[in-house]
Amino acid sequence: MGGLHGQSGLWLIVLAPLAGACVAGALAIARKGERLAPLITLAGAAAAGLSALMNRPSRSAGYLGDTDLTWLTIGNGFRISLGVHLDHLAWVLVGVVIAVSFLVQLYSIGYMRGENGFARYFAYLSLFTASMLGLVVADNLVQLYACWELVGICSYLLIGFWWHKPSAAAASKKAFVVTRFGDVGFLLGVILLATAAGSFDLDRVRSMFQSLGTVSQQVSPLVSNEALLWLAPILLLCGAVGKSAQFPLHIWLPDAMEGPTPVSALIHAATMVAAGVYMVARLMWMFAGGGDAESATVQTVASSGLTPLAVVLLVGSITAFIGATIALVQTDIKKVLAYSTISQLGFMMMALGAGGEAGQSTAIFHLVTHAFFKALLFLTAGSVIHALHHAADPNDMRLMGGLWRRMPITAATCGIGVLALAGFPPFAGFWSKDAIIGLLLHRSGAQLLGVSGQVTPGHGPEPWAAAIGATVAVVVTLLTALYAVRLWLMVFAGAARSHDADSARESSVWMTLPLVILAVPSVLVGGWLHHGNLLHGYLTAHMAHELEMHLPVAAVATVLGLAGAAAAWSLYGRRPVAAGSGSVPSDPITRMPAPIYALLVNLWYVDRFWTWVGRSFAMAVATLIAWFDRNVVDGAVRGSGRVVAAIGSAMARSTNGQPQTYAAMVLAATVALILLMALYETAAAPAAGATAVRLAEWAVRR
Amino acid sequence: MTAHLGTIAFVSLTALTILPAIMVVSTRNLVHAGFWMLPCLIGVAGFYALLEAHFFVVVQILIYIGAILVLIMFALMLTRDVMDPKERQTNAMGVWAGVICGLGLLASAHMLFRHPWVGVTSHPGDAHAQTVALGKALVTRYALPFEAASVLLLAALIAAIVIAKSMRPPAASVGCDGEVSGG
Amino acid sequence: MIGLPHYLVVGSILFGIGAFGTLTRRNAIAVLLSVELMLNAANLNFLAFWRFLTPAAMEPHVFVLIGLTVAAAEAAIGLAIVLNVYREYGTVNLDQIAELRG
Repeated sequence: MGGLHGQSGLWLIVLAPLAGACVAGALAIARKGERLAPLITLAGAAAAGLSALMNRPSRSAGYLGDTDLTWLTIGNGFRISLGVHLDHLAWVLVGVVIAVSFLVQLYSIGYMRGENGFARYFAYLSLFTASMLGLVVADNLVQLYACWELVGICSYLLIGFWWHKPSAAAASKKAFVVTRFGDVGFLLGVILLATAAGSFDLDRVRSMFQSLGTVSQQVSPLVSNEALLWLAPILLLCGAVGKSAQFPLHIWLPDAMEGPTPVSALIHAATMVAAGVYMVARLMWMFAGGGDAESATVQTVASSGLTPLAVVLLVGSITAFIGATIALVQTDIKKVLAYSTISQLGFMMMALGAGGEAGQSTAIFHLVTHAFFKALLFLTAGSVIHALHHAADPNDMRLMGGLWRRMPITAATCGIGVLALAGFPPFAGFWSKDAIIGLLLHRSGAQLLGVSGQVTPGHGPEPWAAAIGATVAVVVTLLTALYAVRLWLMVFAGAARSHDADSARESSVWMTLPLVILAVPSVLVGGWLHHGNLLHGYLTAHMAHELEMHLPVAAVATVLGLAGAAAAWSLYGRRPVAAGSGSVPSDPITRMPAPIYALLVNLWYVDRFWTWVGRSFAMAVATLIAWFDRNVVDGAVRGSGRVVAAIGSAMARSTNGQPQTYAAMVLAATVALILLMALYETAAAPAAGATAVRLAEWAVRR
Repeated sequence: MTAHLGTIAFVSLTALTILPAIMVVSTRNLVHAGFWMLPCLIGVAGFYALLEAHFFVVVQILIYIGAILVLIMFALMLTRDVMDPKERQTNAMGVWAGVICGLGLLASAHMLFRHPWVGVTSHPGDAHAQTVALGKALVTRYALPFEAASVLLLAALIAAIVIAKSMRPPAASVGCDGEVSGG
Repeated sequence: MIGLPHYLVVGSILFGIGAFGTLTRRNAIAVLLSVELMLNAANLNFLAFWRFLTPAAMEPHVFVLIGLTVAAAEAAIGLAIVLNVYREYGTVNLDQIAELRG
């Protein structure tokens, strides 16, 4: 074990933001110099960024590692280490996390100005950054899991930052509990792998996993080798489903928008929700059945139903579709973006489901572009909300309109974000989305649109799953363009539909500057990474032919996107939404067929389903446990309390203030001792007895 | 014959000590209790004589009987209600105290007789020699404990004077008085 | 032949009687009397040990002397306190004086 050359400077990537969090936390507790907190956390992020820049694993080299630290040693040699494993994949993620985190912190200086708990907010942000970076560079499963939970905690703290708002408190609880469902699976997977490999180190786990197909005896004490090959990736996927808001655990993400908008941008759009995607990409060898990520060999599981990759692909497809359809009917600007995020995360999962280095690289490609344009979109939404924060509901798009005249910078940058999200060339989203569609078509074995797909048996997901994925991707492209353009038109076009929208003003330079900075990569990063072959070249050992761009595919996707945009224009642009007669203007999208609208506006009844599960199943269990707690646990506690009280009152009666009673007790104790010694006679007994008698004498005389 | 005499002396001294001691703790009339102390102390002095601790025979009679007992008798006669034989003189713990003391006695007697005491047959010196030796010891080797005892006695006497002299204000004393007799 | 155990038993009986009196007497002065009984028992034990185990030693005598001193001091202080208590409460019955009650 050990990297190319151990460099302790690597640790700075994690420790600098952590130190920033500690100092900012101290400021928050001391309630002194809170205004300094952002400077400190920004310095921490900058230091981490510098360290990452100086420690870039080169194109040809392996990874940089530093695993000198032993965290725990259990028994004989079962060692849990803390380590840094900075390979190419991790380095890309580190760059994205630090860049987005830095910009969001910059933006938050303006957004959170004058808030109660200013320093606390920055401490949380910095702690989140540190945990996320620790997760990305983890070289063993325990560290991965610990940081995984840490980012969950930070998310909880930040969603509930305005804890005095009941909705925020409820949302933070919901996010925490729902992701816990997935994390249980993740933890089980970690335990399963660790017991089989005898170590938490990812390298050891990997070599164990790759030997599963060839060794004959059972490796794991718990399950057979075949079951392990399938179960371990599926259990880990549960964690990713929770953290990356995949169907059916996506329900926490829209509620998480109760947190401050910059938090939504950082955690719930760009980085934390990408943790699940990153984890699957990092462990691609496991999902690919133990083969090399490169060859995506599926060794033995093909016979036992769906391959793990197909599961990933289908989960991603469902998520992408559901997210995009629900986003169509939302009227809350942040909810639209939240469902859009869910949908885009589904895209990333689909890419991962394609398997192999190509899937890994494509998913990360989309992750990077999405991180930039979605952070941009959230920050522009924050800018709008900040401008309207006096309104009754500053998030309601039906009460906006015409803002492009009053907030030109926000409108322009938001427009860039919308175009990137909708996937129009040459914006960032175009390149990555196109790569995903092309890759899925390729894996499905299709021979159309210039793609000459080929399927090698035992490689990648089942072709039919890839075909479903490709179809869904194309459909979602249309839907994405529709809801993205709808958002922009509703917010910025037409005339103002409320007094607050009429009097809105552009945000301060602290907030618009990050918008402009983020707008640049939202335009350029896709084409830059694609044309220079930078990302794929960096992440993959050799340029896979699956990753070549197919012009017909791109053309079809673009045409579909244009169709979606045209539909949005016909609904919202041509005839702007009128300032309705009632308090809230009606939304033209509600004119779709009623059953479909009901389905979408009720979020496909997934929330209802979980509520039902909670009511019926969880409540039954909880009632049982509550009964046990009240009658057995509390009974024991109260019983012991009563015994103590009874003894106490007996003792209190003897404590009557009369010295003679006390003397009697002392004497009684002494006599008891003497009796004891008389019964268990030893050589020393008489001497001890005499001593005891004298002690009693002394005590009584007092 | 000597052995018999010794035994007879021991038994009679035991009776002289223990029976009055029982009377001391049981008689209702406290002045009588004080007077019952007299034979008891004399009995202990007799034991000292039997043990050939001649100096302490004298000390016992002079100090215990001549000083301490007389002091206690004064106090008895100074306090009220002591002569009334109708007044209950024991508290509610009688049975328990009896059980405790009885058990303690049984246990210690049991152990005392089981222990193989290695006695010596030699006799100590005569009264004169003993007293001279004690006097020398008290001013040489045991000067410090002796002086400590003196200081203790002096301090006790001064303290007794101070305590006996100190008087609370009459009002407070009356209040307390009424409270206690009421209860 | 009368030996050490006999003296010790007399001492313990005397001590037991004294302890019983100390615990049961209501009158504070009677309690003092009982304590004197216990002190006498201790002194008797000292001298019995001296006589039968270490007739040449001086320590038992010194102990007994100090014991006597303590007894005298205790009598003096105790009586002073009893007189004061009597003046204060009008009684020396210990079960009517429960000042130690918390």
